[in-house]
Amino acid sequence: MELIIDRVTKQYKNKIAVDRLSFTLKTGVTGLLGANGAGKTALMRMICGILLPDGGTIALDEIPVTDQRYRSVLGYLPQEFGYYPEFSGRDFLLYFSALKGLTKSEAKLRTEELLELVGLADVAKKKIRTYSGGMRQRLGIAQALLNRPKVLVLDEPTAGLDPKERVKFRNIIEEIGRENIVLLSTHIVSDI
Amino acid sequence: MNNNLKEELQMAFDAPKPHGKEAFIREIRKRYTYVYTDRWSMLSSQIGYIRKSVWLLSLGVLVFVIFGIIGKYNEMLYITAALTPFISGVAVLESVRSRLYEMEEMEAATVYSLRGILFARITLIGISHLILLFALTMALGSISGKGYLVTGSYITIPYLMSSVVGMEVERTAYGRSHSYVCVAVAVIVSMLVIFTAFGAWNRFVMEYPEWCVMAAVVLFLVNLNEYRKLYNWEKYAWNL
Repeated sequence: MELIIDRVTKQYKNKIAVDRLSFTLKTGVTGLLGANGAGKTALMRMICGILLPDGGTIALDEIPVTDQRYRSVLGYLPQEFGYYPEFSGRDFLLYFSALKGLTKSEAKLRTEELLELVGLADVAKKKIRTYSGGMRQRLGIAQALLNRPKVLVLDEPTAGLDPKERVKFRNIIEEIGRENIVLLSTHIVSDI
Repeated sequence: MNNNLKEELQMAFDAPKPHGKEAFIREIRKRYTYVYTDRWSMLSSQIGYIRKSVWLLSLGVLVFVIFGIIGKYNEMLYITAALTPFISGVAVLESVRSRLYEMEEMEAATVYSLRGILFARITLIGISHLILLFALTMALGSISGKGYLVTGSYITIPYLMSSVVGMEVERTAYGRSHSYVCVAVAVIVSMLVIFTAFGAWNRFVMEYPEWCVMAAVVLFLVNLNEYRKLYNWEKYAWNL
């Protein structure tokens, strides 16, 4: 399994965010370390097909990023994200399960499994607006794992997590990285 | 091996971690994952997630009009024309809901993509509003004295005006940071209808009914184009 990023370029008006970047990602965890504004988020958005590159290609085993097959094995946690105000933690995961093409029965099972994994099972019924920042972040991580992604892209995933949660999260990522491609960005050196 | 020994061994050693579990489950899923992601499943994935207020407002207007007709209230046509901008304002707000609640980035990275989700929402709301406008036209056409075509145009024009202007405004930089601006547009259009209901707007409809119908048709086409722009524009929103 190979994710090939080939001469990818992104330019915003007169600023080049990503300049002919080429690399190959294989199974395992890869960290993107860089200062704010270095282009990490732009690159991750392009890998997720949210942002169109000005040049170059991104493909997983020759499946281009624009293909539905690619998105069906993609998990993404953006740096910042919101939620619909009426959603509970469980609703949030069930909603994204539907958008990720899981069947209803599979969605229910996977949602409960992930709520347990990220330690939100006991507050699953509560509205997300009552969650702390760390709990929301854990919910976001669970959302990214719903479809058992082959390619997991995490933009500043440990932001808002306390040290204990950070250790637990690192273990989860390490486990996922054994069989899948994980790309995470951070500005915290110890996370990598 | 006796049972006690079995239990002792189970307690003494952890079960080995499953190897290739994720890949195994993914392979099993694969055969139906792609079948599940057709347009109909896209629509059904969204129908339960459209805000109840969108349906309730439409239903409320319909019930209000029916009661108004039963009560033989004379001004129902004008009141309905003043209410329809709110129906379309709420629809425009629903179409930009992902942006409003910062969900668009995560939704864009799913199987359906943000375009698919937008398509589903716009289609579902659009069909329900077409049915609503048709029902209102049928209900009011019989008592308005203007005929069904002009009555339909009379209530549809404010709806379409609010929709077109609302979507245009939502695309501006101001609209992106103030998503509720489409509701303000609905208020303005509604006020215009109220202030001109017995004046210029009414005279125009009475003296030039064919132009009124024509205006409704043109606005409908412009509205379709606006949705097309919204649909295409979201694809490139992150590139701006």
